[in-house]
Amino acid sequence: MQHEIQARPAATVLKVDLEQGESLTCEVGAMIAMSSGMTVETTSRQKGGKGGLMKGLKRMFSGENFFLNHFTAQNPDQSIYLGPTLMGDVIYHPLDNATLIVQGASWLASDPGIEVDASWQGFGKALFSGESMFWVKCSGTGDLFLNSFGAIYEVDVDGQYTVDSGHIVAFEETLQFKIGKAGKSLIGSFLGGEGLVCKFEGQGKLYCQSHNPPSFGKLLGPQLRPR
Amino acid sequence: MFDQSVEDADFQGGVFCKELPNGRASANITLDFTSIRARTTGGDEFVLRYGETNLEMGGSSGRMVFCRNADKTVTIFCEDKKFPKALENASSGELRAEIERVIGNRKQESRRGWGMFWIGATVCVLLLIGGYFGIKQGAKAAVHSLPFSVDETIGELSQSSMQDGFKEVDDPKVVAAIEAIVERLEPYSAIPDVKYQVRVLDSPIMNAYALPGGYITVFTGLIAESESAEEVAGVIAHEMAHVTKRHGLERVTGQLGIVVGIQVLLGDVSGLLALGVELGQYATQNSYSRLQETEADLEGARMLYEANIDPLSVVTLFEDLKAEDPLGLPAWLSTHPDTQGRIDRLKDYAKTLPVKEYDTYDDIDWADIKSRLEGDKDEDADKNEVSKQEDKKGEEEDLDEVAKEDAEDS
Repeated sequence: MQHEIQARPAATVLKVDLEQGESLTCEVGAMIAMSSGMTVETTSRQKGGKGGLMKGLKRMFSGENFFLNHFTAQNPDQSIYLGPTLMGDVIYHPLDNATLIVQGASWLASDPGIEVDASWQGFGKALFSGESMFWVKCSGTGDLFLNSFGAIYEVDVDGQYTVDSGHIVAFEETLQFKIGKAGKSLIGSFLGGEGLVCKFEGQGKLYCQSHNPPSFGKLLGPQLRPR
Repeated sequence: MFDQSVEDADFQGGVFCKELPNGRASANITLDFTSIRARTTGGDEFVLRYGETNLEMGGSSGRMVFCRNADKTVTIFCEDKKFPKALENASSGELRAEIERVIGNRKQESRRGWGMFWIGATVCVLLLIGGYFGIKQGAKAAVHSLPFSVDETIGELSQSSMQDGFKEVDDPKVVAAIEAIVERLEPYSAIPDVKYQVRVLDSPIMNAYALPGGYITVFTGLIAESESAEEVAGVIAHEMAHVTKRHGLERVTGQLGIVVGIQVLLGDVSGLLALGVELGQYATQNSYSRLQETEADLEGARMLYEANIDPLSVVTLFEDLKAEDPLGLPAWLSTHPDTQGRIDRLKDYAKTLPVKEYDTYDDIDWADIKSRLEGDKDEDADKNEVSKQEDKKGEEEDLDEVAKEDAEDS
């Protein structure tokens, strides 16, 4: 499997070349175009029969789709183009028997060997960070592609790191994530426009996005005409 | 022997080290007598001696154990639930204190997290309950600051859309008598300038009711069963008190949903009017709260006293009726619960009033009013008899006509 990330970062497209028999599991609706020798199988299970109804439901709670699309090359030299829903970036993160916790809609595609499940993050985090109670948990070995709203930047955390809520794309399982104040005082944090923020602790990789979908929605929503 | 693992199971985990590509690799972890060994998938091996290992717990699950050397250049991590116990056993208790410390910290953090969760959940529930009752009580308080024209609109629309099926008594003397009772009490009503509208409905029901805004209805059954105008005045004063205390509007706010409650607080009364009219149409079936009834009793008694009418006249009426038929409560009482308690409270209230000579409605000939209602009934009965006879005559004529036509056809 070869991949190429094109037109970064605003309107990124991911091109994946597959050899005969190779497969790629994608988010429903992510496919833009593909070669004629590809077949698609839509199911709630992981390629190969793992998972099922409960995993599909858990994925739904985490902000992903109930179904997964498995694209398989039936002929040699096949390619598929994938694009994120929002204007944004795509990154490649290879997993080596490890786990990446991914924010709701940021999982784009992965090797069929990677299990795409949901991970419980707790009421408190959901209530105060505005994030989902379930996050997507990608574990196993293989290629993983994530998308974002705006550009993605990568941080190697060793100690503590703070990210505003809504700007997290993904983080390695070795990082612990808590909710805290941006400043010393709670009132100051809110007056500064940051309010409660996500604080990471530990060692590991963290991906952040330059834009925040809820803020964009709040900005755009009032400008839209009612139907 | 030295390299042999002391634990049966290997553990899956990883290693952080700057020497590794990307600074991290997954690894197979084994525990021997002296150290933790991690062999990465790339074949690199990392060893941490128990004596120089510091432990931490964290990761996204909070259960991941991180084993670090003193200068933190190598970190071996593992999330396996059995790993801490295996580590304690393999190190022959050397790491026990360290393991107990990190597990203790985690438990403390977990307890703090749950504590925060319960505090947050309790605050949310209290805010919801407080908000709900706050809006309800706020709306209740706000209705008293609304202009009386809102009551008048509800009363007018309710009365005009009410379909009770009773005939309105048009005898001017009967209507004038009830109006005179109202007029005598009117100057003492808590809200001045209320335009009371009185109507008398022909029904044996012994009842009277008032709609918001001053729309008072008296049934002929009440007049027929009463001994004097003062007794009816007692009932009417009670109903007038419901109007001036705005109990109708209060009752509407009791039924308000949160949305209409917020509307009222924001000054929009359209929802309140719609609900008020809907409830007003069933005024004869709905009852006021016990508190409102007591308030109306006392306010009615005050008005009667001020107007020089015996405030206990109504008590006499109902005591007489109860004595005649202890089980057959009149309609007015059946919609007004705890009758004996209310009578007692009224009597207690009357005792607190300075003694004075009460007047009577001398200008109303109550016996005449009652006989006029009976006369109306007789008249109606006569009219019905006449119309029945006319109908019968008409039918006979029709039959003769048909018979004639049949004979001609044959």
